[in-house]
Amino acid sequence: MKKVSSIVSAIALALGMTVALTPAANAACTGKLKIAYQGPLTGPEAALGLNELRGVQFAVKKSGLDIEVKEVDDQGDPAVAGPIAPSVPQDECVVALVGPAYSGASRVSLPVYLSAGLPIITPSATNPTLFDFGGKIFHRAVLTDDYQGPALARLITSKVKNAKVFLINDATDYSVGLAKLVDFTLGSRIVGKETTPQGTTDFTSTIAKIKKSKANVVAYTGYFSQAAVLVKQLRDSGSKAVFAAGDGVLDQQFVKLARKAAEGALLTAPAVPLEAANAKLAKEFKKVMGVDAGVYTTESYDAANFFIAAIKKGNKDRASILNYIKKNSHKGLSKTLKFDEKGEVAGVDVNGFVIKGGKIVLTGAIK
Amino acid sequence: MDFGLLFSEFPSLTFDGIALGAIYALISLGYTLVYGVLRLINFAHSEVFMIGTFAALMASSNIMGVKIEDDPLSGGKLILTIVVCLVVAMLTSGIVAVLVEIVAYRRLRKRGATKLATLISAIGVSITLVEAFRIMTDSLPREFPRFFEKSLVAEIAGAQIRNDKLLVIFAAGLMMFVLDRFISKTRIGKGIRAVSQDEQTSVLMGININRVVTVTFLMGGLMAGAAAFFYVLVYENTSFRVGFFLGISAFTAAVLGGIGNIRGALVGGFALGLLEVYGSVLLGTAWKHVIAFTILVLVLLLKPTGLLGESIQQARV
Amino acid sequence: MINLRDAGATWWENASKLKRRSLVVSLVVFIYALPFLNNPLINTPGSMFESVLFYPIGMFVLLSLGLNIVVGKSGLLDLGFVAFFAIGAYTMGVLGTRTNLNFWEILPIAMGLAMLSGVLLGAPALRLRGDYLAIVTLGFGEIVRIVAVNEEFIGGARGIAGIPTPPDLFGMKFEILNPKPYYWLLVTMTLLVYWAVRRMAVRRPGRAWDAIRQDDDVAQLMGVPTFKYKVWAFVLGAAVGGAGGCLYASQILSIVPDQFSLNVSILVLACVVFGGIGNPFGVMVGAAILAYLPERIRFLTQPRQLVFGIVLVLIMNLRPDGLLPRKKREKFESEMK
Repeated sequence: MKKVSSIVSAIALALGMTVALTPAANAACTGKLKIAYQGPLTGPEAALGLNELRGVQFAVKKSGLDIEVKEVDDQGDPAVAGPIAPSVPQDECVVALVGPAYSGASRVSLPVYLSAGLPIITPSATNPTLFDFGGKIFHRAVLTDDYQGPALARLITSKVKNAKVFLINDATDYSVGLAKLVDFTLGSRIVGKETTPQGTTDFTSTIAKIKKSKANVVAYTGYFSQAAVLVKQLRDSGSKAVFAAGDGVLDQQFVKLARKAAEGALLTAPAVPLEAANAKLAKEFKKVMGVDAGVYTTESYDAANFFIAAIKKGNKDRASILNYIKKNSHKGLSKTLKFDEKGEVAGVDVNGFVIKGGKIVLTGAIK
Repeated sequence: MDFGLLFSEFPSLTFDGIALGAIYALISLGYTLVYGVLRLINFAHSEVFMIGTFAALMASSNIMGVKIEDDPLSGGKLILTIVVCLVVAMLTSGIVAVLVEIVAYRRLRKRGATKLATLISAIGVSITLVEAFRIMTDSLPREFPRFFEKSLVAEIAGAQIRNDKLLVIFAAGLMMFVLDRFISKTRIGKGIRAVSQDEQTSVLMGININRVVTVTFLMGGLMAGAAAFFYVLVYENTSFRVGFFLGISAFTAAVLGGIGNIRGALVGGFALGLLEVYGSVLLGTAWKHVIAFTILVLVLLLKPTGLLGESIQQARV
Repeated sequence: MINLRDAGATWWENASKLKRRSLVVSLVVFIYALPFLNNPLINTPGSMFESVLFYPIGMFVLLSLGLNIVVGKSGLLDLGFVAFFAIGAYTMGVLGTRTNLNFWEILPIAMGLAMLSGVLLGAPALRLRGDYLAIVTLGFGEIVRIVAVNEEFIGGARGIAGIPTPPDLFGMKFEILNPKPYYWLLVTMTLLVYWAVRRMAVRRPGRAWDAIRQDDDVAQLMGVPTFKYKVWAFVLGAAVGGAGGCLYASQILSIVPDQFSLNVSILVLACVVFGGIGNPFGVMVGAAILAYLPERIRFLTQPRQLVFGIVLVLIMNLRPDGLLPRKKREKFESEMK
């Protein structure tokens, strides 16, 4: 028995070694260009990353060009992004990068890409300070939280008379930041605040607080999966308060999970769902990619298409692609991408949405 | 510190806390049973629960054909659906728990490996299961259909009693009662108690230790499966991460009550459910776990083996 | 079955002084030279090898050495080791961004704070037995993280960005794109800790820890001040965790509370047990392998963690005492109780 086990362990070790010996693709660029996508592809945040990755893959497939999409999985975690980022520009064929999806991971990765001159467009990292880390290579296909927070506040006050708002965040970087801006804009209209960390499933006490505060609006700045749990429990408790949330909730999944409870929810996003931007394309997406488009699929599709447009114009290296996206504009599905000197998109608004009949309906830009 | 809210809503909060506690208690039974027999923390138990939630989901959609968008069920079909989902969830979790024992524990146990080696092995199984479900579900949460309209059925002493939570409390209580009878009255239950008291002597007395261990894991799994069904019935969704979040709470509950002690797990579960609800009202949901752990430390300092003390055999009638 | 630990130990005991020294020297040189051995055989496709050498590999080796004092030497199950790592990192983050102190001045403060929290946690918790200690330490780790998330003074959920790098050392620049100096500094710290642990292991504290691990009650009866030495084990482990966290923060430059989750504690514990609990050399090897594996198989993308889990189960089942277990003799003794 002991012999057997030692043989088995030797084989296991040997297998481990062969896995370890699989050669790494590190050769110089042989001609096939690559667009990298960086975001969480595994781990708890993977849903958002996969939405965006599929947007990039879809754009590349539709372009008809022979471009490879390189997947860079940072798990949305700065600790993971740190060691990975330097390896991305090491591959000379990587001429552009869509991402990183999250602001935290961006902070760690951007200085690396800056030194490599790799042009990047992020579809979803909305922290306002990122330009300081990325400088000239950094571009953003969405508006920052500086715009979204006040927009959410304005959406609430324009749709609900005498709004008394109970504000909830989920203790993540994004959520706390957005909540602060909503809080700041609404001021005395905020009648209560609460933090429900990700993973909270029982909102009994929060709902008791909401009821006591007599709020007629519950504003939630977290992500869709928990928002669905919250809004369901809210409705089951008999509350009729309007539910309002930011782009983290703007996902067909939210409607799917919360069903009837999601009806009438007000959402904002610097993003546009593919469904609302182009219903036909959304159907095609479902057919080609096998799953529905999600939040930020449109933005990453646009970002990838901007790069593809640059490549189609004959720009085949980082410097010329960077130059192209700085000088030109691209009419995307969500908006026209035209970057200012800080890499931000100009002249676009945050969009308002309402959930009606199980669909996310665009109500137009929030003025 | 919002004492006003705590006092004004006290009856309702208590009812909700008990419903939450019932789910904790059912899960923590699994930790406590295994600990009683093997003196090991079964780290993979949270995943046994997680798989139970998915089993309930599969049962409702694939066996009973209930669709997410369907109207709430009624009459015979409702009762049948509830029973089928409950049974499938329990059986699946029970079988998974037994498999976990075979994969992660059996070989190590036979070789007399250290506790820590077994702990890491169980952690490995836990990681494997979570990742497998993450990949299978595309990292997305899954929704669960609404079986019946949730409504307030009564108001007792100011407490708003909701039908689904009432059902959970009632059914969980029944399960616990059956388990308690099983452990104290049946032959194999007595075997479990004997092994938890003194493993070597029980083996000398002719108890089949493997059988006892398998039954222990099965029982823990069945209870976790029941908890899983009740969880999706009330909260109507699940994800690959659900085990992690509830597992820590249930484990805390088991220790609070006195790990290894079945009634301790029940007391611990309900106590923790109430504690979390009251604590969230007083200090905010963000501090819920801090409150729970602080109370746990205080209890352990005063009563080093938990509220009711250790070991299954003491729980004897 | 060939016991690698015993085979190695026998060779070591019979080897001449010259042989021993040359082995140690060549091993140390090899470890320091690792960043230059960046070839397809051992490198990590999908992440920068030098960077991976620092974190996770080197960092987990250091943390495992620290935890080994607690779990391996004195047999206390600690599931909240990440707390000390976090305290070290946050000390570096807060003091580095708000004061003019540099890394070298903050390092002792970080270690001191970690040790202080080790005493604060240890004093009540170490009176508890075995598995109760596990849940209390687990709770402590979570509490530290929750406090970091909710406390605005230390950045809240946003964490701390713009943490300064250590000042130049021997003409080497510490930069995010050049992790080599960090790695060398980390290796030096690890060797120091290894040396200190070995020294201690053969002196009074080491013997006291051995006694506590084998039987707490008997040790106490025999006059070993068990509580005192348990707290010491805890505090020393905490100091190592704090030092690791401090260096980590100065390399990653921005920290957020989620980097310090329960998973880190569990992973470090896995490293300790996987390598061969109680044997510092085995622990280091185990930690290096476990931290390296997920990076090495990054090309698998989706099933990466799945494979990691399976490997953990397989290895523990095949080698329950870890890759390089404690000496047979010691194991026999500990089984005798």
